[in-house]
Amino acid sequence: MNKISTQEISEIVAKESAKSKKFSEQFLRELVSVIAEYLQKDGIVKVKGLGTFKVVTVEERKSVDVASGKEIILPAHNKIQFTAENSVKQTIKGQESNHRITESPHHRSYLYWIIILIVVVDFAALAYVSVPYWKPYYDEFMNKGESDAEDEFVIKQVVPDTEAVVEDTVATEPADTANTDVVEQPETVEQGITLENYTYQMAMEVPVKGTETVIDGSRLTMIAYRAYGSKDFWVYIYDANRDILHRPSDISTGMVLKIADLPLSIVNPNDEACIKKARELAKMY
Amino acid sequence: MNNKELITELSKRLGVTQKQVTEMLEVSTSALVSSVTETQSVVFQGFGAFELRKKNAKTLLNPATGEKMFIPAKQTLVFKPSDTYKSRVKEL
Repeated sequence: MNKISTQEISEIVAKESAKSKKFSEQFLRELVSVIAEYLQKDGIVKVKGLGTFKVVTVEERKSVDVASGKEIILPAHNKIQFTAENSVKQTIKGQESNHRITESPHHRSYLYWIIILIVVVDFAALAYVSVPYWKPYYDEFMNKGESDAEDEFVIKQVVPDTEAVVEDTVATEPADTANTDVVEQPETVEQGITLENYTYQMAMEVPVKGTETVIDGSRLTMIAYRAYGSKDFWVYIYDANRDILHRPSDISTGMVLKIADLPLSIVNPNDEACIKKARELAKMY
Repeated sequence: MNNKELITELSKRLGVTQKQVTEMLEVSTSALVSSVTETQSVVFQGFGAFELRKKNAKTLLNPATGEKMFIPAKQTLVFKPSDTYKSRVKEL
């Protein structure tokens, strides 16, 4: 390894700076002595165009004596650390290529896409499965302007005694009208109701196909949606329960509401005329 | 001590202006760096030596992304303190 000393480097400096060799040598010696002195004093010396000298403390550590094989403790001490300036590093690196070759791990990006796909499919499935739960709220939201907000109550789908009620009505009706079939009787009553001649008394007269108990939080329109397939038919729920409801907003928690068994000709959620009629009726309240 | 303090201290000791010191420092460091790259070792008696050291090529893993990085072999400037200076600094 070639070595050059202070004398030789001061020659180069003298040539380049156009100063005397004596001054250059003096300068370099002073430079080195100042660095050495202040490194001990301050612990850090920065020289522009060269780098940073630093004194760092090394804590004591265990080691093994190479000769005897015994464990020894190396005492804590200071050592000099030198970090070259970035510009110096770059010039020294010189002709060596300084760009980094990166290998991107492809398998990872595939994994990300699969996870995203699974999440999307899951959400789609969830949305589809939950249609029955959010559909009523969605419909109601879409028709907010047309329906009155009077009916703010929750009704719980029920009820064990539905059967009993239906049987009761079925059993009593045939007594009035002579010798018709038990099953046929309610149908003939229903058949008499049309959109044109409907009155609220009819809703009260027709047999009850079920009851709902009002629980806190939902509304007449929700019962109507479950009973007839459209929330616009809430008027029929009200009509059938006029004996306990004086106004549509009267319903309260714990009430048991009757669901009138109205014919499809009146409560067909797919028939424009039925919905129109129901909305007209609703305007009256 | 930063570069500014170094310059003022040198100008005080040598009895020259700070501007001259700055110029000389610039020339000296560049001469030092170029000498090191050419001859590979510059020794300052009683202080230490500046050397070139070869760093082998290595592959690193980026801990955040798991990316493999290939770092090519390169040379760096190192400072090797002389034994006398090292032992002087060694004491806490």
